Amino acid sequence: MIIFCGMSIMLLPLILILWLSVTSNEILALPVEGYSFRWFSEAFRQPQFLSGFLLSVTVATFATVAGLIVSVPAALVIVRRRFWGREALIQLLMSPLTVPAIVIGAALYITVVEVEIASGVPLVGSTAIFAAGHVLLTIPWCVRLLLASMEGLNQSIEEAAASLGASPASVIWRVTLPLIRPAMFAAGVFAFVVSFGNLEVSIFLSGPGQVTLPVAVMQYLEWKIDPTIAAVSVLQVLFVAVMLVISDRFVNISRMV
Amino acid sequence: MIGINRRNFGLLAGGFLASTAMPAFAQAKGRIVVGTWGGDYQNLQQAHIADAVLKDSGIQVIFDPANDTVRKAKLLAERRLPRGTMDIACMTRQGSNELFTQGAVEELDETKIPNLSKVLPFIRTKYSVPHIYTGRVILYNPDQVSPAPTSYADLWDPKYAGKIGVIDIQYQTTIESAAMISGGGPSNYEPGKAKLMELKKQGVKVFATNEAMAQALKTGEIVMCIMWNARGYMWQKAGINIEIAIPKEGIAVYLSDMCVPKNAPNKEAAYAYLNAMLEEQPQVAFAENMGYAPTNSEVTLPPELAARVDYTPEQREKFIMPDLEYLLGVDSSLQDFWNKEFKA
Repeated sequence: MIIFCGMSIMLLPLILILWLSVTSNEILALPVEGYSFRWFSEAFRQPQFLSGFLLSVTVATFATVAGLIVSVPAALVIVRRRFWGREALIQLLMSPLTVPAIVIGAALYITVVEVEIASGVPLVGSTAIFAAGHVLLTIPWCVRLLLASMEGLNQSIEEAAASLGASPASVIWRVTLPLIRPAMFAAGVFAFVVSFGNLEVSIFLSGPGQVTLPVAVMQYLEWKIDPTIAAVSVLQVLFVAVMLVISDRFVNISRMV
Repeated sequence: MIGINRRNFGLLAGGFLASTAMPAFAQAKGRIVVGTWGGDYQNLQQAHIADAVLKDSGIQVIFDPANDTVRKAKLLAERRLPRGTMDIACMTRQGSNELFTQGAVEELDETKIPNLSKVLPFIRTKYSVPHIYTGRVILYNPDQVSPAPTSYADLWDPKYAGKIGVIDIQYQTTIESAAMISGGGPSNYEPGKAKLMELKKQGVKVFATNEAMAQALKTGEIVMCIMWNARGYMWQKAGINIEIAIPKEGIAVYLSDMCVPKNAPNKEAAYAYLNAMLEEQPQVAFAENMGYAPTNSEVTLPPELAARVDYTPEQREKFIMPDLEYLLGVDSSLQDFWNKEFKA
């Protein structure tokens, strides 16, 4: 019974959004006055939603890959080595989670401005800084999931490989990485979702004309509250669901996430 | 292999010299970045300024949508940069005044904005071009509120206790409205604080955003609120059952401005944009779609639209303009009162 209640509370926003997206109400509110699919066509008529979606996918993909490239070696070193400052390093890598995202966005922006004033390099509004901000968001999620997975890893498999003559690089490439592949995948899924849905860092760091989907949705809401945004959300949920189903064929993520 | 012989070098050098000489007789063209509110506010500028008035001008307009608070924070942070990221910043009047006071936006060269002479004189400043404006009014549900309200004091009528809403981000205007019925005014918000505490006792509801208020009016949770005429127009268009009442205390004015940051990379084109946004087509588009009155006094709206969104000369004479100096000084204490006493 408790499980059922919990499940329905979790599903409620999804069901409500799905329901409201097909109502004919001009305002996103109950009661429902009729049904219509016109908000979906309205969503496609707003160019900023499609371009925002494509930009968000691009940025989130980059941030996920870069986040993993940073986090996998970091997690390996943290799990395999005991060194001074190890705990501090873990806290440092987790710190973007403890600071509100809007503060990260504003702080990075101010820092970038100061660096540009000092160096003359045009950084403000550049794609590189925008992407770097998103990578920062993905790191704690990747590191936490990878650490959890690696700590449970049976080290004797790696030792066996090494004793049979495999070089350290070969052990990592042929034994460790395949073993943590599900964790890497799960970390990637989290990283993608965190970056894809981020509003606060994007609003400060994205360059002129670079409008991600969350920013476009929020800006749309500033003037209109019709169910177009519900339609956009339904499409977004569908996209994520399809991605998860496809990826489930490769890695059993339900076991990991 | 690219070889540079003497002849090519001469050509390159000549080209370089010519290109550095170009700005001296440059026309307004090239890329400009307009920092603006997004959504419809951006779409209307795109359709009626960038793709219409400036269509064949050679000016390429890129929009940088964000809330004005984020835009203000960005402009203040980057004001020491030799090249900023924005050529035009859309701001509320309070915001543009603050940016000018802080040295982030420039005093305008009015000779570059011929249309500026057509702008209503009482809303002009030396640092911003008024884009659109609207007045503060009372929105009410005609099925629930009778007789129609005539004063802000009607929101305090115990008959409507628990069915009155205010908006968090409108704390300044809400305190000002309360002050206007308790002996204060645009230059003295103090009496409004005690008055608002009375409303709190009557169970006023605080909504985070304008949109949340619209939903509450739609569902009937709220029957009366203080709002901008333009929003009332938009909400009526969206099918919310509301009427608009003008308070007898007078119409306080909201203004949206556009300013040019001191470090704007392309000021010539920015000025061309400011002039273009005052043209009839974009001014009418903002009136029709969003319910804002045109700032260009020579723009005439269709009579039916004008009756709903514009103001008569008699009304304009009695407009209550914001006291910007006063607001700059008291804003943090107003926020303190709002967050720690009124909302607590």
